[in-house]
Amino acid sequence: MSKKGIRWLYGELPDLVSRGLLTEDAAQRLRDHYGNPEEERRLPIALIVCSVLGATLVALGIILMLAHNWEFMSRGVRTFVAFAPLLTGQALAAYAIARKSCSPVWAESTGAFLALSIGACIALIGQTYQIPGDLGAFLLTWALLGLPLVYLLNASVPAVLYMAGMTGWAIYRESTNDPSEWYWLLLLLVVPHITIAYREDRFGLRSTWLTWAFCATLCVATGFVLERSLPGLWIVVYSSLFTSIYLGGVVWAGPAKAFWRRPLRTIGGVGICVMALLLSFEWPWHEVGWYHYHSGIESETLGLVHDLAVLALYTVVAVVLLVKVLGSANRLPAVLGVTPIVATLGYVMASAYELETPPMLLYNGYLLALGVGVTALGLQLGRLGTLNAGLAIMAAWITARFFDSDMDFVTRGIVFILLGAGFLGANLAMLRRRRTA
Amino acid sequence: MKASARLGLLAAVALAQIAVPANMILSLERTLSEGTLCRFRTAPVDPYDAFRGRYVRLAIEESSGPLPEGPIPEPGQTVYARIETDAEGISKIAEVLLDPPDQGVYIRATAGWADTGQRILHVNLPIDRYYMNEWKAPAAEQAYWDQSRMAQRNAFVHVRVRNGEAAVEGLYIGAVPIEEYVAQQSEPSGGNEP
Repeated sequence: MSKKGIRWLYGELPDLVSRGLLTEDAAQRLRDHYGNPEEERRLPIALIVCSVLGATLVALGIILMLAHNWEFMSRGVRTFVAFAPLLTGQALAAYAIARKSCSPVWAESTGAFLALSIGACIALIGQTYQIPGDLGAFLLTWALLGLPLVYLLNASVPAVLYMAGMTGWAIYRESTNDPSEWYWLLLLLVVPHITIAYREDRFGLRSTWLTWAFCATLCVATGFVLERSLPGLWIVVYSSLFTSIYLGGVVWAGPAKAFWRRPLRTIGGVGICVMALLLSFEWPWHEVGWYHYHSGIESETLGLVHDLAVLALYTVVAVVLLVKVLGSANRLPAVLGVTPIVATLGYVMASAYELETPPMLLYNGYLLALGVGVTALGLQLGRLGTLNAGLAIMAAWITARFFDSDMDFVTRGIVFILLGAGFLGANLAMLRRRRTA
Repeated sequence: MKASARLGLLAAVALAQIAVPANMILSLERTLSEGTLCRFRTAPVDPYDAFRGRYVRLAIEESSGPLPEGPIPEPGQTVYARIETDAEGISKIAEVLLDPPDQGVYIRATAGWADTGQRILHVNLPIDRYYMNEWKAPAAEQAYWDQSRMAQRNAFVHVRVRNGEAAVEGLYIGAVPIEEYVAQQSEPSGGNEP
């Protein structure tokens, strides 16, 4: 039974005993049989981390040793050396599967070692036979040959390595001006594993790390996979992506308080704030939209269709989640959730009317609202981290505007004085309200 | 899934993991033993690959040929470079074809940019790197440039070609393999001129 199931069973036992469905003795025997899931949990985590780190470092060390290029080795010896770690990894994986209870420690460490050994083998063969250096083909072959390990061993480290490989592949393809739309299909291949991990324990360590990796690859690769035939569309695409991630974290919030155990809210929240800060400058709004569309080339038209499909997917997810948040008791996270609407408004202004200052001003207002909203959220939830994040947003906005050379000194001075007076006035009003209450 | 079924699947996956590099080896071994020797003039430059180590990048000097008849090949499109060797023993691209020729020595390559004015197509030959020991690769590049200041540029890459596949056999400064040349240069008494 999964640890989640054991915890649920232990929660039910007192009720079952009180109703007379189970005797106290039988309940105790069940507890003895399944053991303490919390205690059991701590030891494997330390073991998994140590074994995975060990296996990864050994495999990376082998890659580095082979990369040295030992001249005295003949082609035959090099071929043997190339296959030795691969065959060892395969034997270890077979042993891990053959054991009746394939522990996560074995699965993760052999999975990591074997996945890296595949890369070492292909790399050494490439080195020995002077194979042309197509990094994209190398990464794709490596990742696809390692992917089955994810499912055969039920191991998440090869899944994280696969996602890293796919991200690298997308970046390389973009650098050589080759299309990289296949990234989406290749990424889908790892989704069933993430789904299984979520079903087992949504807030467990495995799900947390997989979520970090999945969000990271989406955030990095989206920018490289976009064809960018319609200048500035990234503004709305990334706003929708970060909002989807953040609101996903709000809707499926776990009990964890540490930021690293809440990857969706952390990545989404940081992404939204960084985007807002970036768009509060004037330069991202230069030459965006339909007036600057790279038309006339068939590949650009196909690129636009792809980009719009990505935008539609992210936007639909963001809107569905926003509706859910607005329908819930706590609507404050919607302050961050309205980012795609603000981005679309700004994009329409800059795109249709070639305006640069209004979208910039819109984002300045939004960034300030974000700062106030996140601070309020921190106060409401009693979370010092969130409170500090709100204050950090305001500090970032103040710093950015103080040194912003696009605005003249007088305008900046007036805005700062007015805002300062506003905050002081709000403070005074709160104090008066407290005295009268 | 039962352990026996998973073991069976692992065996299939393991075979694929072995087959991909093994196939690369078998094909290239055959080309190296049976292929026609071609000798291209090149200029080595020393870069770095995190996975495969240091190598000297090979900039083949004669890497363009007459534009084929018909539509201009798109950059990246597969083309076939028919190779001819001149009286000095240097291999050059005689013609660029859209389909593999029935006879003669040819290399499967990709199209680069086309100069429609001069009717020339630049070709990306699959001969772009020569891996060397991490300590010797920078020395090889230095040795080449030191030598090229004194004499003609005479770095050559020897390539075996079979059925469109090219396998690099060695990199030479004059007639001396680059590994030997670098070793000669690093000797205290100084090396011999090739």
